[in-house]
Order: sequence, then structure tokens, then C-alpha cells
Amino acid sequence: MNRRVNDNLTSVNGKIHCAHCDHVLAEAGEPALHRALTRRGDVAKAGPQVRAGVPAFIRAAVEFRQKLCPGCHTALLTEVAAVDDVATRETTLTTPSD
Amino acid sequence: MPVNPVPGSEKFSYRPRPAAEVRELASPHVKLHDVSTEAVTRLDPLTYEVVRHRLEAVTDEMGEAIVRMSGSIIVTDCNDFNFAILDEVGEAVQMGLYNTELAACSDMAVKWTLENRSANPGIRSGDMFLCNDPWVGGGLHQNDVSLFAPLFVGDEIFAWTAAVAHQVDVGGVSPGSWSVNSQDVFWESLPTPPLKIVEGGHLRSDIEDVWLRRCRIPALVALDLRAKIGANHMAQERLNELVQKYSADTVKAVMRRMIDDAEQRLRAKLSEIPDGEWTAVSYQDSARQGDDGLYRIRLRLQKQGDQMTFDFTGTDAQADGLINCTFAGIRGGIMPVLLTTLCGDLPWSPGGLYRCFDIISEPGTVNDCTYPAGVSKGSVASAWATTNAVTECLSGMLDAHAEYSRNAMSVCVGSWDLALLAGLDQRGGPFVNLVGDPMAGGLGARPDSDGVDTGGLAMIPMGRVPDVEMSEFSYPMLYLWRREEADSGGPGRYRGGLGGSSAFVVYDSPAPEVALVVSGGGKAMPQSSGMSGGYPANTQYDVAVRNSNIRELLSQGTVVTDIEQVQGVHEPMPPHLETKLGLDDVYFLAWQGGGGYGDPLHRAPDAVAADVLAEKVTSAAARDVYGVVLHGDKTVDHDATVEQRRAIRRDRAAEAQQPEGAR
Repeated sequence: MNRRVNDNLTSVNGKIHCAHCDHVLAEAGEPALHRALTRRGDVAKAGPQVRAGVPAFIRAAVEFRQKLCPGCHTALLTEVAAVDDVATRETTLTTPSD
Repeated sequence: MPVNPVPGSEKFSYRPRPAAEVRELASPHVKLHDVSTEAVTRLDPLTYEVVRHRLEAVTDEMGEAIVRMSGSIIVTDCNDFNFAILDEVGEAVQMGLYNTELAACSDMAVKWTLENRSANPGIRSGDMFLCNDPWVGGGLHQNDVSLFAPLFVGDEIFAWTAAVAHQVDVGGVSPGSWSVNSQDVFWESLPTPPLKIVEGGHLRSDIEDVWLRRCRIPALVALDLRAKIGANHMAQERLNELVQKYSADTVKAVMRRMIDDAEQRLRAKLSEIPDGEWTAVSYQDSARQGDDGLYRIRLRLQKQGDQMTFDFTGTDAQADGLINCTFAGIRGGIMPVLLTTLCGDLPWSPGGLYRCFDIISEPGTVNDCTYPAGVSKGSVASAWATTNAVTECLSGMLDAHAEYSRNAMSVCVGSWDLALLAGLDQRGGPFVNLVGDPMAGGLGARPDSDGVDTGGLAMIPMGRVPDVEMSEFSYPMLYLWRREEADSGGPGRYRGGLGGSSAFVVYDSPAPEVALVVSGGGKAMPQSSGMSGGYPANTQYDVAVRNSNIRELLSQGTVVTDIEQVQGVHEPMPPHLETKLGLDDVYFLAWQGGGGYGDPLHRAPDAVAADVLAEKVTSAAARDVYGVVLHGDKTVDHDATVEQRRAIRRDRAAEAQQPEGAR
């Protein structure tokens, strides 16, 4: 039995699949986006009204970060985060999916 | 510079105790009304619903009362206040629909008062207590001034009523009490623990003098004090009528059942949702003027069965600045999200809801700071950032449930864009104006719909943006515009609600300049995060155009619609600054929209075209972010759109890297 995780993710017997192309994004026991691709870049990639860095108000380096499905390249997580912050937003379902 | 602990201040660093403990501590000094479990069980459903709705209506009526008596636009036009009815030991039975962040901590102030004021000076009929100490509760920063009163039936405390409202100035170094240079609380307005300002029905003039002496606009704060006294009186009259009609035991039984019902129904919902963990980080840029630090609030939400734990372990240490909030700020950060996402169909009885979750926080961190850390911006800084993190985690949790996912929402207007003006108004009198335009923040997108454009704030369901004409009438300002800003909503399959912008000049002040306090995060990085691949909303952007040609433009009849039309020295405002605004300066502020939901490449092309036509999204964003190409008449070029979306996916793939563990 499939269980919804969110718009993009489905849990099937503990594995996390892309809801759009069924690509396996995490095996059972792995974090939900463990096998997702990671795209990084300048914060301006977050949209035309994101002006971060002009002028530089903070010392810390920040970046645009996106987790993508390797199968269909759907954006699964999009954020602007401090470069030093590796783990920011994670989801783990502990209820069995069936 | 680290703050030095103040011996004795731990008395005020309050963690609310369970009802039974409060009763035990207060009982030697005051009589507390109680009702048996049997009386609660015996209550018939019809009486329960009638009395419950009456209690809810009383908090609405308190809102009407305060608006009619106050003279402050932040109260009369923005609805930045709220009310609570609490039982005899301070368990919140009913909260109003106004600023839920404020009223979430009324219980703390009442419980602290029962524990610390029952013996000396005593709690008697006709007394009212004033409090603006964020460590005690009742509000989240010093401007949140609460006034709460015991309601006696016979010689027993039957219940409490509480009113809390933002006061535009309560002293401190900077106008409006937003001390942007604050390094600790001693730079700010003095926190006042519960003080018996009304005794036996009489407003004590000596205490009122002490209270008002600190304010730059004492007449207005005195008027608001009377507005809160009036709102409490009105509520107590209504509650007395209820008690006379239904008996004290019946009304109390209803209160008990409301609290129990809220708890049981929330637990039932939680039981239906998959167990799991959701994490989030919310950022704040800069803690005070001149500071270029970045401050994190980390949250791990754990849901197991019918219980939640909000674990803030790992949050950054409290800052040398004004952005910290106390434990009241954590509670005030959680409750608004809980109420609006999970409790829309439950009694808004925080006393029951608080039983359904635990909070783990570390004293000495930005959202659980210790005395004497600076807290004058706590409500719209670390408490607000707490709300952002809670929004992400709770919405992520709801998103995992087929039915409740419709109540999930991306982060709404991720920070408050503070512009505060002070000086002489057009009538020659002193004024302080917290510009309320960012009340029209963008709401976050949801799994089935766009966010509401300029829909308001997450924590004030009944919030309003002040009328421009009223602002111009009250203060020496002339608006060039106030409007929604294209592309300010986070892109997504469902788009975040748009934020807005305003531009104004100082107008008709007898003084050559007015004081301007700027205090708003979200300028170095967006704070309205998206969900499920949705993009964040815009960053906040404030600019002062110095020595501009605005008066020349206006005298020529030019209608200014873009800040770039105005010539002069364009000075981007940092997150915190205290400065002046001259008669030839123009001030522009653009606040944040709501985060998006889902991948923007999945948004229906016709919806994007409609947004472009309505000027909610620019053609450039439609092409570059949504991958939608339009014809000259703004209709969708479907073939080009398919190709453009393919190209964006190719570009994404080209820039992406495999995860280390999966190679």
C-alpha cells in the first residue's frame, strides 16, 4: 500500500518513491531524499525578487539549494540556506506504510 | 559582549506549572472556585454549546470594546491585540481571533501572579494586574502590554479575563521602543512584572504615573490602558450574567469540558496522522544595528501517536542584540500555527491544546533567552522565526495525511518589515507610528491552492492593514503608493501569496525631519520558505532615497509608480538602523510574500498566463522559473512551453550532483 508523504513523494514498504516517475529516492531506513540530486548556486536562482547579497548584510555565505529527482528532475526541495548548514529540512515517516 | 546574569532574575523566568500545582501554591492565600468531575460529566450538550459559544462571543466583543476606546492605529486599524478567558488557576479556556501569538501566553502571566502575588499584595475583587515582562508572559516583548483581572464569585476567584495589545511606545532608547542598538535589556524599555494597577475597582494614580512616565506618548498609552480596563470590565459583566443565568458550577463545567474537548479532539486528529519526524531551520539576519551575524532556530518535530514534541535543540545561542525571545516566544510561536492548521474546527482552548505537546528548548538560546538579553524585537524576530519553523514542520506533518494535507501551508510573510516614524505631526504634537502596511503580508501556498495575496499574517486571523487615508490623517505622511508586488509570492505548482510595497514621504510636519527606525530581517535571505519543492518568496527590500526630486515630480503632476523614477541617493536599508527621514527623502518598503508549494514546472500554464495578465507574475519569471512562454497577447505558447520546461530540466540536471552516499 502506498502512503503519501507530500506532493512529490510516496512511501511504499518503507522505500520513498518519486510520485511523478516512481524513481526510488530512498531505500528503507534512508532519509527521504537520500538519493536525490543536489543543485547549488547563487541565491538569485531562487527567483527574480530574491535580492540577497546586494548589499551583503551578513557575513555568512548563503546559497540556493535544490533537491531533484534523478528520474524526472522535479524539484523536491528548494531552499536558500547557509552553506555551512548541511542538514536543514528532513522528513522521516516512522509509521509503516501498509 | 556576553550579558551577565542578574542574581534574583530567575524568579521571573517562568515555566507554567500544571493547574494542580498552581492551585496548591495559591490556595493558602486565595480561595479558588472548583467544580467536580461529576458536574462536568452531567453537563447536557445543549447547555454546553450555548455557554461555549457565549464565551467565544465574549472574546469577540472584547475586541469591539478595545477598538472603540483605543486611539492607536496599531490597535484600531491593525487589530494587534487579543484576549483570553482563563479558569481560576490560569488555564486558558477561550482565546480570541486576533493576535494569537500574544494571547498564547496569558496563562503564564496569570499563573505567575497566582503564585507570586496571592500573599502580597493579595488578589481581591476589582483588582487588575498590568504586565509587560516577556519572561513572566502575557506578551512577547515589552510593547505587548497585558492587563488581566480576576473575576470573583462570592469570595472565590472564579476565572480571569485578560487583554493584551501592542503599545506604540513604552520607553527605552529608541522611539517606539525598538532599540536597534540594544546589547541587552537595559538598553530597552523596562520589563514590568505583574503590577496591581487597578485596586478594588480604582485605577491607582501613583502606579499609573510610574507606568506612563516612561512613555514618549503617555496620553495615547493612558488611553489604551483604559481601553483594556474597559474590555476586561465588559468581559466580566458578560461572564457575571452567564453565572447568574446558568450558575457558577455550570459555567465552570463548560470551561472544563472545553479544555478537555480541545485536547481529546486534537489527540484524535494526531492519532490519524502518520508518525514521524520533520525538521526545519529558520534564519534571522543581524541581531542589531551594525551586526552582520546569521542566527538559526532549529526545530525537530516528533509526532508519536497522539503526542508531539517540538525540540529546538541546536538553536543558536542568544544574541547580543534585540532579536531574542523568551520561552513565552516559543509558545507564542507554536500556538498560532497549531490553531490555524489543526484546530480550525476545535474550541480554541489553549489549556487543552498545550497538553498535546512538549517543548524542548535550551535556556540561553535566541528563542529561550535568559535575563538580561535584549528582547525588544522578540515578537517579530525570534518568536516569528519560531513560527516559520513550526509552520514548515507542522505543515510537513499534515502533508503526509490525505485529508489534513489541505490545511498545510507554506511559510507566510517570513518577517515583519518594521518602519517606525516618530517626531512632530501636522498638528504640532508628538507622534510615534509603527507603519502597519506589512500587515498585508502574503500567505503561504497550500497543496491545493495558491496563497492569498496580501492576505495578512499567520498569527493574526483578524488582522487588518491600516487605511492609507487614516495613516495620512493621523501622521505627517503622504503616500506615493501601496500595492501588491509582482513576483513576491514564492513560485510553485501553487504560488505563494503576493507581498506588497509602499512608498511615502514626510509631509506637513513642522520639524525638518522625523526619526526613522528600521528593523526587519529577511534582507540577506528569504524567510518565507516553500514546501515540496516550492520556492521561497521574495527578500525584504527597503530603500531611502535621500535628497530626492520627489517634490519637483509631484509639482509637475507626475504620478510616481516606481522607486527608480525618483532621482536622489538610493540608500538600501540594512536589517537594523536608526536614522532620520528628511522632507525631501522618499521611503520605500517591500515586504515578503508567502512561500510556494510544489515544483513551479508543474503549475498549469494557463494559471501562469492568468498571473502575468493580472501582473502578479512577470513574463520573465513565467519563462525562467515556471517555464511558460507566452504569445504577445499573453496567451500560452504551448509548444514553446513544452520545450522551455524541457530546457529548464536539462539545465537543472547539468548543474546537479549525485549524493555522496548514492554514487
